[in-house]
Amino acid sequence: MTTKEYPHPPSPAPTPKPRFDPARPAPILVSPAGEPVPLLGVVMEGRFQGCAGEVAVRQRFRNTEAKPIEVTYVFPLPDNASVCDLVIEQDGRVLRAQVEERDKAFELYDEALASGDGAFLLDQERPNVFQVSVGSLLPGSEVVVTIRFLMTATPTPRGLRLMIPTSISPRYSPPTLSAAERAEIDRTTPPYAGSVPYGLTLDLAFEAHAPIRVVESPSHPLRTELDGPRARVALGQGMTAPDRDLVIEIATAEPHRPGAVAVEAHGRDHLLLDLFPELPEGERTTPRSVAILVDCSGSMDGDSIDQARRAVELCLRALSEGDRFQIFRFGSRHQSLFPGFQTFSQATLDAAVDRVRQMRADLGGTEILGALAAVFDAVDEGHLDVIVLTDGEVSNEAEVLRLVAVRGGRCRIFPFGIGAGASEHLVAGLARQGHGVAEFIFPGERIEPKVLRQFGRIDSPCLENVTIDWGHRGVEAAPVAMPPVFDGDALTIAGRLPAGARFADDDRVVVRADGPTGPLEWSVAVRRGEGGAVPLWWARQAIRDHEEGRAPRRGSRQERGQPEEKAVQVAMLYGLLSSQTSFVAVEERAADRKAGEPCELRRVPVLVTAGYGGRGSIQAPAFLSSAIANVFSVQKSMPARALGWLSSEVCNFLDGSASMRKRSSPSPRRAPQPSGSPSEIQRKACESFPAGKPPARSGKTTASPPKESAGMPPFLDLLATQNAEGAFVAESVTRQVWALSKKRFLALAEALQIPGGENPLVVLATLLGLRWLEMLAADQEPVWRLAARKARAWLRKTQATGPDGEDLWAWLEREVGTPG
Amino acid sequence: MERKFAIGELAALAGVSRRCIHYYSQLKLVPPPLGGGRGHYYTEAHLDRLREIRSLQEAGLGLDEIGARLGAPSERQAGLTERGPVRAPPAAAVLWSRLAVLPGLEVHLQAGFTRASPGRLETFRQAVAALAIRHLGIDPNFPQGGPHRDDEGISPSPVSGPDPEAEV
Repeated sequence: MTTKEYPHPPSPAPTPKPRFDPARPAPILVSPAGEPVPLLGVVMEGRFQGCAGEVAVRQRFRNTEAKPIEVTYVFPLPDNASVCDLVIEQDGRVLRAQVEERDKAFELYDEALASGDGAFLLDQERPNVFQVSVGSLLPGSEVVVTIRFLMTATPTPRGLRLMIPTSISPRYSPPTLSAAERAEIDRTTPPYAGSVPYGLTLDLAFEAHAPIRVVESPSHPLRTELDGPRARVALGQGMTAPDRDLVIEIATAEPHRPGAVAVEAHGRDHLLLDLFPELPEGERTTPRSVAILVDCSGSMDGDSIDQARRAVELCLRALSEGDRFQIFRFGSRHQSLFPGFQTFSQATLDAAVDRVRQMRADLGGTEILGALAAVFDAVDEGHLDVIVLTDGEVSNEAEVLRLVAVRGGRCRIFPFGIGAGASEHLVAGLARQGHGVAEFIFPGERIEPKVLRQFGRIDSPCLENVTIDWGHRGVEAAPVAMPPVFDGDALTIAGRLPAGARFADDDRVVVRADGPTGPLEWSVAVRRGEGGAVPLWWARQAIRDHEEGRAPRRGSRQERGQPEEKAVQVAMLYGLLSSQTSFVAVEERAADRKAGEPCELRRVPVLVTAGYGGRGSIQAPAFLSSAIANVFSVQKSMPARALGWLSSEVCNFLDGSASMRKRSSPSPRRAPQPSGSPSEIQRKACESFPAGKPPARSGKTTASPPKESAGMPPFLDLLATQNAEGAFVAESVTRQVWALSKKRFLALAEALQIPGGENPLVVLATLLGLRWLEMLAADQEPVWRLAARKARAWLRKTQATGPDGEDLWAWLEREVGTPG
Repeated sequence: MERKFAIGELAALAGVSRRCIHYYSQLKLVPPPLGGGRGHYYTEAHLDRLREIRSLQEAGLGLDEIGARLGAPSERQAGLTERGPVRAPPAAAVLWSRLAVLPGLEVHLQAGFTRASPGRLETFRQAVAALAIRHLGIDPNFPQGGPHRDDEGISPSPVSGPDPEAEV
């Protein structure tokens, strides 16, 4: 493993003061339209406790022009972000924005601009797309806008997965949109550029309930410091181009622990319940019907369609004999690969794989609506499990989700988000409305565990009549519809008690359900907690329920009110940004500081998502503006300053942990390398942010270059060899892991007694493969459970035994012992 | 006496959002509000202009094309504030959309004559492409943009702004 020490400068060099020369605008900060780009840099700082995190995004703007400007910057945030604060720092003064109804907020902003005052507006334009407007930024002036939000990471079998988008792909707009809708899309679509002069730096602190084993990222090389249950994470090379999602996977010694935390706010008690139910294994008795829907629009070209093809092939191999399947591909139109549903067999599997391998991203636009409607039309009998593979880059998400809510009653949807910037809102929304679970596959990530995990869910026994006993009456649950319960997946739900009621420390919350083998029950003890996260999480879910038309049906129609009104009331009370509320701040200026002329609009250009529509590959480097590299290449002799600008709390935390263990993050395969040398990029990161915060360095940090992932489970190679009947056609794989010579393998196979006449080499490989899974991959059991079940069933069917009818497993144990 | 509208009233009458009016004003598609400072207002002329933009959008024009059609902003602005409403473009204006078929070959369609869905347009495009390859000998693999892209077809591109691949 290669590690590299970054030089620690003796003292922080002062950040250069903005030099403003109207006659000579900065040459490097130029948009494609030929105007200076006022955004200088973005820093993301966050603290996570378990899956819940608070993140601050700091954007620094500077007007280098001779006239006042209005800057608008469109950026994405996680789908589950609750934006709860907007703070503006300018000339040493701090201004805190307030939440107002969306229209009122804009009027305040508009009037301030018309009066020559300073004004700041933050709008939610789409559920995961936001726009900040900085009005009347005077010539030579500079402002730092800090947006604070709460978010949750997704629990995984190993720990958690954090996904923060940094780019917005161009979206497909169906021609059926109205002129008004199209006007809004025009307004909120940022101008795109091939490179931008600003970058992103990162500083995240994690605290888990169990020791953290490893932190890795399929999207970026990371610098990681581990200390028991704590981890500090920064980008390996200081700064990166905002052209792909930031994805961080954290593996902990003990993945999950259920919890129920009660917090009081606004005179009401709120509770957040996290449960990781284990379900009894039940043999599926009826064959299932599976429709696979593949996005073949132009935006999927390149890395994404390649991954989609592999994922579909794995989906097909995960089916069992007797299951029925159909494959649809869609773009501007949709088509099915077979005339009707096919019954799964080796012959239909071979035919399907052949057609899937020929799929191209050649169907133009992304008319997912029509494709889903065709799938719903195809439900002839019983239930249908729908697997959707898409990057989700459409602008009619709301219509798509409505269609699923209205017509998807007999379907469950298990979507895969594909690519470096899949629309989390659409993909997660499909799962939410379709009673399934979403998985995201970043370019270069292993697809197999995700596909197999989805099939594990599809095979999971269905629970009925799932209810929560909160121990109190009149609890407002959010989300209002009970989320689906799958084995090992998180069930997260919040509740708000009526005024006057309160959870006590020894209360318990009980989840009950009817399973295939009888009633099930999980009980979690309540503990009292503090802080704003729990109430805000409840409020965000309640607002989303209203926004997506799942308003609770409590009280009379009059009491319930209009969904929009209720959403606004909740957002205003809890101080949250929503589709109906915005943050606004006005800086009233003295007469001599007012902007004397109308300000010119400057829209910050953004990067197209890496790999979008086949534009290069995600494996290619992420380029910052080449102009930056040029400027800094002449300053290479300057010492590189440490990555810094950490919040003071985080600095304290670091200083207090002198025994911090150094460890570099195993970066995944083919992780992209930002351009420029680390020192250049780090210098730029320092340049991009105001002075005043010392660069925090405690201990030494290590950086790891991108390399093959150390954590790639080898058993996935075995699973990829499984045929339609369930056998592992894996002689070489199993020989390798059991350290068996060819001769020894043949001898063992010959000793088997197989009444059915199946190939003894395949029987032995299946036997060895199964034994290996059970012995060495036990911690990944949810991933291979389904494949193992198929393999066992096939072995039983062969009626194979050891020599003289000896039990197969006893014979194997005696002959080969444990894997080599 | 000329009617005066607050931005909210104008938005409701024109069927666009307040933010859109502000955005168009910044792009100089719509003249700035009158009155200046707090209490600034809009007039029928602004409403006419917004309706005009909308009808051009419905005819399939993007904001860039609308801007070009509406002419130089400063002159228009002067026309509105000093001499009343700007005249609409000639009613007989003919709108054409381009359908790129193959490198070097486009089909131009006049608005109002076809209501084909994107799927049918794609079928049409493929048929024309096949004819062109057979009879005109056009090489479909000529490296000047391919026929299969998200942002092609008769509807305006959802991507506004410059070419994403344009170098800074």
